[in-house]
Amino acid sequence: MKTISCPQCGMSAAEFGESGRLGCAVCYRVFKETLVTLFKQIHGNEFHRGKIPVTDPSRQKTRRELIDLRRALKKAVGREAYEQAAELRDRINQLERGSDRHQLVHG
Amino acid sequence: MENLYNDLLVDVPQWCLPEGETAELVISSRARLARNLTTLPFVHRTIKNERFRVIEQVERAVRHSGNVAQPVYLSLLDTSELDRRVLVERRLISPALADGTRPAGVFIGPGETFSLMVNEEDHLRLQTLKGGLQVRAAWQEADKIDTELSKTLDFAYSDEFGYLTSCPSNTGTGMRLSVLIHLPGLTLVDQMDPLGRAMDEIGFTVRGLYGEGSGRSGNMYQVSNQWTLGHTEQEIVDRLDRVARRLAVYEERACDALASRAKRQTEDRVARAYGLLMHARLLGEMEAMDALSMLRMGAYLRICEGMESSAFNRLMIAVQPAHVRMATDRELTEEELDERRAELVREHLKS
Repeated sequence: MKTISCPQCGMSAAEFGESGRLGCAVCYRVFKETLVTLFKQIHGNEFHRGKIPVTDPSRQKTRRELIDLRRALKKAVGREAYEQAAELRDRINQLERGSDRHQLVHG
Repeated sequence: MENLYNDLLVDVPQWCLPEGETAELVISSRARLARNLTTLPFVHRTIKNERFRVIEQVERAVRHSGNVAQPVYLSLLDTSELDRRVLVERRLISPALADGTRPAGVFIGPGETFSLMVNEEDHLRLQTLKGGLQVRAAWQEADKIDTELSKTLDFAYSDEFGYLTSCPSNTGTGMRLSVLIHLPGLTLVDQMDPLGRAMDEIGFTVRGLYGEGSGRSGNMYQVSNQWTLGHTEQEIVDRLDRVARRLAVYEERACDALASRAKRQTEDRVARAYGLLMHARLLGEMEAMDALSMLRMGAYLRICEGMESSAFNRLMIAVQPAHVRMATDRELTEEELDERRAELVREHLKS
């Protein structure tokens, strides 16, 4: 079995499992799958809906839209509305590419 | 080393002055935001140099934040153990930050209205403290300072997960909102355990005065949100506000029941507490906190001539061990500490 570890801080999956702590911002991407399961247990939720840390209004709007789209996608998949889900996924990809160069870390 | 009392701390922290209709029960409201810098590993994976870099970056951001009242900075490496404990007792730093062996620091706002802890569990923990039930104002103030700092600092954030924190239990808003509430009636009628369980189910935690793992002291409870991901700050604010108001109503009912159905016993408890506080020659911390709690309840029930809530809040801080030591010019043995505490309480009550 291959062991996953964070390319930025070196935190391994075993270390993360043991301490329950992340090592850096990049760890969130590396251990995403485990984290999502954990988030559902701890918070009963998996997506952020709170404050967005930028003052640039256009970026705020995109981020808000992405959040809404991801929720819609999850619902569509749940309903097995795959055609709609595919459309939503395209739109998400499009927006993510557009905002990519601004993003500090993407989940 | 400058004297904390003279140069940094105020006589009465602003949060000691209660506001609002529930001020007799809700002592204070606090908002705490956890933030990390994108460019450095989280605190528990940093080396000494990196910790100094965090401090430098935060310091620069604070100096550049025009809209924030300028705080005073205190390095916890250069602070005496007693001073660090005073800061914990005043709730300006967490017990974890008081360790004092690693580079860490705290910025303290005027009137002790806010503090920025650097290199705690996260690079930055920003907290605001308000008197009485003011969770909305506490959040708004924290929001303002956070926004101001984020003009200079790049906080770790992802669109999906929000603010990225060292512990997944804080991810999302990174916000822990809490109220400190005095619930002697509910404690006396044995309702705190079931209430704690009910709170847990709706995503709130009930803990003692100093947070995680601390015991009950003087019937003071901290109620805080557990969930930080998937809820907006405003939702958390509204829910905690409702929860605190509800607890205040329950407490009022419990107190009314005690005053009507166990009138003599309740009066006796209050009178004994007063006797203890006025006449004890050696007064322990817990003993003092519990007796003050009964006296505060007596004032609430108008059983005795009441002190103002603010006077109780000040006394609650003054009886803590580091504060008793701070108010005395010489080293104290454990027995002398209890003796000095008894004196201080008597002086307060007589004035």
